[in-house]
Amino acid sequence: MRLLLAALVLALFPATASASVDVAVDRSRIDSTVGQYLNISSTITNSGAEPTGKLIAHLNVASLNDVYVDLEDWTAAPTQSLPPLGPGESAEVSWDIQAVNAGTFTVYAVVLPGGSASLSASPPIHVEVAGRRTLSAGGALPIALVVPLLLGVAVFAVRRRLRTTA
Amino acid sequence: MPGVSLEARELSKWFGSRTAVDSVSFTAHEGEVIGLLGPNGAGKTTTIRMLSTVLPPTGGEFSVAGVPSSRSADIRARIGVLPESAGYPVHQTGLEYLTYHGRLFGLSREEARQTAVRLLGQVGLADRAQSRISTYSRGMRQRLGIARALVNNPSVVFLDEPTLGLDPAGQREILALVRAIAEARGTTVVLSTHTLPEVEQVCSSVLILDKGRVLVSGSVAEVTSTEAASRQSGHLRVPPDQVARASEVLRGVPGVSVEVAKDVVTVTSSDGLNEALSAVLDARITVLSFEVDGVRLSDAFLAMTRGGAS
Amino acid sequence: MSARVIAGQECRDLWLSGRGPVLTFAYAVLLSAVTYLAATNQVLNFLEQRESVNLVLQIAVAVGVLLTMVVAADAISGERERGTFESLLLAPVSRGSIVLGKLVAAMSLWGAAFVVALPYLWVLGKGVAVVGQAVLLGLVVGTVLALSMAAIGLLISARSTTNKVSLAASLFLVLALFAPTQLPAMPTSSVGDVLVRINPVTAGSHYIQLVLLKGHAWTQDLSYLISPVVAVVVTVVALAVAGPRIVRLTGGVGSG
Repeated sequence: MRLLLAALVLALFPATASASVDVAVDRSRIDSTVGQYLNISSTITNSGAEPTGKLIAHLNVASLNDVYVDLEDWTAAPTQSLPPLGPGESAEVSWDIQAVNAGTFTVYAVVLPGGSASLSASPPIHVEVAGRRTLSAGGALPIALVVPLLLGVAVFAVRRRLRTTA
Repeated sequence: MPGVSLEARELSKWFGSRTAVDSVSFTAHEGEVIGLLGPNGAGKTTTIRMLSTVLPPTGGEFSVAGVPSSRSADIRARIGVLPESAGYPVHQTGLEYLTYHGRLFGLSREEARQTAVRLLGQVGLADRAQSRISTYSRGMRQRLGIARALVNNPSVVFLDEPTLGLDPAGQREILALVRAIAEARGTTVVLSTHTLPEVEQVCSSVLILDKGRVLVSGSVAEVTSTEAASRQSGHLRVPPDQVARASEVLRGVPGVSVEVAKDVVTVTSSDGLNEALSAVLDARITVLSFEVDGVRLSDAFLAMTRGGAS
Repeated sequence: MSARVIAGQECRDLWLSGRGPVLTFAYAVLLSAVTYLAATNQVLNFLEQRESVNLVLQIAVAVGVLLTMVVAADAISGERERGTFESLLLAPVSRGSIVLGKLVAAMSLWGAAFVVALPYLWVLGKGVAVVGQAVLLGLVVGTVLALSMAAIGLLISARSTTNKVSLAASLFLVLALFAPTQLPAMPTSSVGDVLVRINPVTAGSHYIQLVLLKGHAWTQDLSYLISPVVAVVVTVVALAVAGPRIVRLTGGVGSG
């Protein structure tokens, strides 16, 4: 009987059992190319009536077309700490990530509240990463040759001037 | 009497606890060539560096052409210096080098170039004006250095060991140049050297330094005569049978030392030779000849610095 | 006036008869090699043009600043050893003019290095509208770093007893300041961030990365430029105040 009563209380008043955190992101879709750096900004709000404990915000990347994702390649710091938030307070968290693979991905942020409260996740951001832009060796080669050549001629001219006036 | 162009009063320099120059005072006049004489380490270069404002004195003061030592930039504008072992930017030509230094002394580009051309001619480098200094001999570099010292038409020129490392011909050229500078321009020249004949050849007065202190100063004649009065020597020639007696008589005169070689008796006295000669004559010794030595500056120098110089 | 004359002669000495052209040539060869590899070599795993532009710009700034400091470090102690410094001190010019003239000459090497880097930045960055940004970043951050390093180099040169000591101390300093830029990216921590920010070189380098690579606005991370700006102000003021007193015939502490 006691057990039944406790379950009823929890079902009727979940907010009083723990603080509730909302996680929002600044956009829902990003089109990018391989190698490009993207900035993901997220707002974390304490929508409950009680202050939270210390919060951990974590960014995750999931592939939708079976491309292998190594999160460390995408960002050096996927996890960030946040100070406790009072009721109604919010905090901004942002991540610089680099789109290291071509494909379709979902990027989302989750917040891990302290204690036994459940995770809060942001809405997913749909990220389309287009294939690699190949650099032109043909464009770089002439510059790489001409500039030292011109300076080499200048060095030669200066040395020759020194010799002829000696 | 020409005006005073350089005056130093109680000039001193200490490097830590070591005294490099100790209370040096002297005066130089327009057109005078004053020799700064002393063995290595006597303080000649330090004195010149203080007088040319490159080193701040620890004590004392000086003035150049009436400008006090507190106005160092104004003094530098009135002096020319050939530093000891001066280096040269070997990639520059002689003309470029002098033109640059002319500009540092406030001449316009054109004025500096004209001055450079004129000075190169005066020091005998006109035909090498466009050559890199790297191709100059040591003597040519010294002449270029002297030209650089004249680029601002200075009142006082300091030449620190200008003939060091030069062959005799090169030394003669430099000394002739020094004389010409003083005579033609009326410039005061301070010539630092440890080579005595140079001073005797070109200097009108001399300052002998040792261990940072002035031992004696004055005209070359005054310095040598002062020494002559105190250490005069002569060669007495008498008949061979009277040499022993002459020697005996002379040894009896106070302050006289005697050396005998064959029939010549060399007499040295710190009180003059008159008394010695009178004693010989009073003893009725036949004097065949008596020759008094001319005293050289080197004798004075060696005596005062106890043979410390070359 | 006299500072202008000295600067002019120092620049002529550096560029018409000194090491300026050779150093710039070697610098250009280095940038050519890096540019060509960045544009073609898959092994280097350059992901996009921005990253290539950033790499070349970082190297251009680092090596350009290094060369500037080397020239500054030789400026006074080198002249002392060659015996030409006394003649300069004998001219009726202020010690401040001598310092300023030598600073300008050293900075002319940075100017040349920057100009030489322009075609490389252009060829790598064309098409992604990043060239102008890279040029401006290089000009601002590179000039600030080069000026502070040149000022430090001159102070070291004036203080050093020998030219070897001056060059060794300056090289050590510049390499020590640049070394942290070669460390792998680490998770952000407050201590790490402070270390990046207090070193003007790492802070400047980080600012270039943030703007050029990560697309941050110019004003977003201006705080990273605090230490480079403080460094340039402090070193130039130190040179202006201490320079005239320590520029003398002999180096070392307490000499002369």
